Amino acid sequence: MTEHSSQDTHMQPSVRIDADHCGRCTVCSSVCPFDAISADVSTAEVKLDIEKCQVCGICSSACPASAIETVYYNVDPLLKHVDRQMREKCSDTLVLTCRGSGPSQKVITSQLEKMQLGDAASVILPCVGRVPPELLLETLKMGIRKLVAMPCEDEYCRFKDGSMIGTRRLLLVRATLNQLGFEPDTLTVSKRSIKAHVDSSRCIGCGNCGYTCSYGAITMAVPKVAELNPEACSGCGACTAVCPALAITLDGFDYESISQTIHDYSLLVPKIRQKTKKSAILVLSCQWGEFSDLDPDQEGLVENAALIGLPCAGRVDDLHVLEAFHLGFDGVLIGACDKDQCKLKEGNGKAEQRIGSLKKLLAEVNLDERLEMCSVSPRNVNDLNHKIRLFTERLNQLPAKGVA
Amino acid sequence: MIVTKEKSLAEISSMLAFHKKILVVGCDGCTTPPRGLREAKAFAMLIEMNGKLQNKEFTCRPTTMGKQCDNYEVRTTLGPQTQDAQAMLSLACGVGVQTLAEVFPNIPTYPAQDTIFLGSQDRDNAAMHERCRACGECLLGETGSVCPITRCAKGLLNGPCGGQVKGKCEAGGWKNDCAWILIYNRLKERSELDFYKKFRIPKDYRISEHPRSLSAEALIEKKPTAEAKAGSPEGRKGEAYGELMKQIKEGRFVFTGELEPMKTTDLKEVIESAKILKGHVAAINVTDNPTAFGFFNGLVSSYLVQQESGVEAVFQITTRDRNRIALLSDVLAAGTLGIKNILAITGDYTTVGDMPQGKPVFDLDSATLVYMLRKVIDEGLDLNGNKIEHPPKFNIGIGASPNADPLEAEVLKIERKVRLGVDFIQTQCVYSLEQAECFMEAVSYLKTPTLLGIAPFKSQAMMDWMIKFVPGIKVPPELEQRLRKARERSKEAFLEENTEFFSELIHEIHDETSVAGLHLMAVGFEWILPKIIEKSGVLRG
Repeated sequence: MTEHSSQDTHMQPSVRIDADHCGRCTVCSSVCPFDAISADVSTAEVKLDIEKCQVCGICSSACPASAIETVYYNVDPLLKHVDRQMREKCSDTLVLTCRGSGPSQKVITSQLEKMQLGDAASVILPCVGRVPPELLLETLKMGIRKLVAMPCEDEYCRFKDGSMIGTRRLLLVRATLNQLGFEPDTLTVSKRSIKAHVDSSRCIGCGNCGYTCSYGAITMAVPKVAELNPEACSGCGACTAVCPALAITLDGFDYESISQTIHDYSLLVPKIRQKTKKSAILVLSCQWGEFSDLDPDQEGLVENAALIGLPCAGRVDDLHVLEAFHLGFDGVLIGACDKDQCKLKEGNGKAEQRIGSLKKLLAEVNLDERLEMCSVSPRNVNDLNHKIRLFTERLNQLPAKGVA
Repeated sequence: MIVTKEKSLAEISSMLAFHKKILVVGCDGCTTPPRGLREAKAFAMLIEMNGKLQNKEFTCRPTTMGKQCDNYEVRTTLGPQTQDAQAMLSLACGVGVQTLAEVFPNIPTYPAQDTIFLGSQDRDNAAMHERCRACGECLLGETGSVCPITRCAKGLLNGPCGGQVKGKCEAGGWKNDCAWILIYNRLKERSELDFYKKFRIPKDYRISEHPRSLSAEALIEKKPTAEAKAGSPEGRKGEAYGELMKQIKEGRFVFTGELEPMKTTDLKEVIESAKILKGHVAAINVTDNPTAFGFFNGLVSSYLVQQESGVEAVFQITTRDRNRIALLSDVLAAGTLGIKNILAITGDYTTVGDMPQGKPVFDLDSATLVYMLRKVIDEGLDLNGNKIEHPPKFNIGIGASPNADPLEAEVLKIERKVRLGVDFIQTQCVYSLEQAECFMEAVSYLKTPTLLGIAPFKSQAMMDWMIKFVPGIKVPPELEQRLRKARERSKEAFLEENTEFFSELIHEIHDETSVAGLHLMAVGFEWILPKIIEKSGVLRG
């Protein structure tokens, strides 16, 4: 869903404000959840600080003059995607979900079943708040009859007020649709958020999860059993990654399913090596560090790298890294957000600490240099691709593995 | 919890070298960090990968269980999983490894980690700290919930020793807290200082005789607790057995010197120095492997000093290198060799010395040593009440730190020993009248003859070293400046200035405080002491 050339466009910002088209309304500045857009008091000229920008796209969809260009998820490619999906699924239902609420196909299906709907075309966006109303209207023109939006619950929005702003806009669209004579249930909004769950029968009561949780969501209430308060849980998965008994699951990102994905990818390792003549890499990246390549309908392969998106770098699991090496990958790259820009709390810091200790263990099997952590952000076009390329180059300099 | 540390993969692989199919068993019990299913899986993969590096084919199957130390649980939960296992790798503590091996004697079981200690988890600093040594006799009720057996490097029952400075311990490079200062602070907060003042008799180590077992009957068995009678804090009015105590009792101002036999068989220098001091001092201390350096025996040196120079010796005994059996043995020998004075001290910790790998003893501490000596001298009995034929007679001295901080913790510790019965106190060095007055005032209620330490500087280098490295030394900046200036003139001027300063200080302490005398330390340049004593003029009057 990205419209960019294949050449190296690294460090090219993915969001730009076109001053010629800007009408100086400063709406963008007022909706930006990260104060990345400032407006001059006297001239009303707006300025984007790309370092603060988290590429949520809310500004772009709010701009009445279409003066803000973002590289990702623009109307035309999204419509093409919807069209393709409609034909594939033979469905006139479109589900718009937010990456942060992390619905797997299973979750989406069960939600649709609840609404007595069959298979559906789906679009997963970094924030439902980023779609302009025109996109929804266009899909209706294309033959969509039911729109189901599944944004995150407001207080768990990874883009602060993104969910609130987006929902407001969706409700406005619904009112417009009603006025235009569409059925009242043409557009439904169903909010959700992902949570961790403790399997108390497996819990050994060590307290690791409670200590690592930055939200105070886990207490050791009953002797020897961790108790999780779903209200406080933000779904970052840091607890899941430190549980010695593998007793904590995270919606859509539990240990087994990620393991299974790694296993499936590992079957491609010989092919990757043969086809690209490069080392086969597994990338475990925070889903906020890269947009288009991590979209679930992409096949998850970028040249020599297999990509797995995680809700937060805090979910990076030592075992998954070990499994990747054990199954034959040549390198593992961890992508995390910049230091102070974790969409959750300190997830990148937690990952860094664990990766540090894991590298010490890996040194004993000469694999420590084959594990790296880097910061990635969608604010620079192709950032992750660029980091993968650099990592691949470094891997090529290393002596042969000798393991697996 | 039981704190463990994983072994290197190389070590594990070499243990497993003769096996292929390995069951990697996690333990969800009390080992920390917890090594359950997650770690079992991680180890399984790492071992297989490590094996490949060495062309070994391991097939590891990870599993975990509740507590590996419970033979019933091992039998029932692990039993069905062991069929095709040629070996087991246990991720539990040493107890788990052995239980597995006892339940499954036909499957070799190996440890994946080293078991280190019983400790608490300090999550915020990502550290574990040792807190219990399973000594079998919990003292925490009397020690402000701070375990001296575990947290004092020497495991002292009657601490602190002289190796604490500002609450930090000499063992481990001044990083760890002195357990006894923690105890003092805690007890003071709780208004329970009586527990601090209490003297604890030597520990009965039979209670931790290995291997220990606990049967159902033993659970309710009560053990008798022995306690020592507390004597008077107002000093001891005992007999003088030698020249030193005789002079003190006569009210004469006395000096003692100090000699240090080194790593040699030749004691010529020591004897020569003793001869230089003769006539100026009432007695000379002979050190016992100071700062834990392995040197010539102190008892033999003491004997030779007395024989060759005719000056009375103060035989210093530390409890670092001898248990109660060896201590008694040396004390009896000292009696036969004509030693009249014993200075009972704990001794610097082994790791600060020149053979830091050695095993520290510390069966007794300086207080329990005084307790033992009193029994020997006064009752003719050893610690266990066995009769000694012709028991020896000594005057007993103890050491003290006049600069200790907090001073009250030091003074109460001295009181503890004074109540047992000591004849005199010798201290570490003071460098000003103020330091001397402060300490003398604090210990005056103990009415025990006290000899404050005085240590002139041999050279500027030595002064710098003392200031920088010798903890608890407070050299006033004015003195430092004065000596530095003198050194700019010449080496001789430096020594001259020393003589000037210390003779003046001695004079002042003599006039202004209630000291019984002074303990002069000038190891290696004892010749300066007669000059200083002479110049101070205190012996003339």
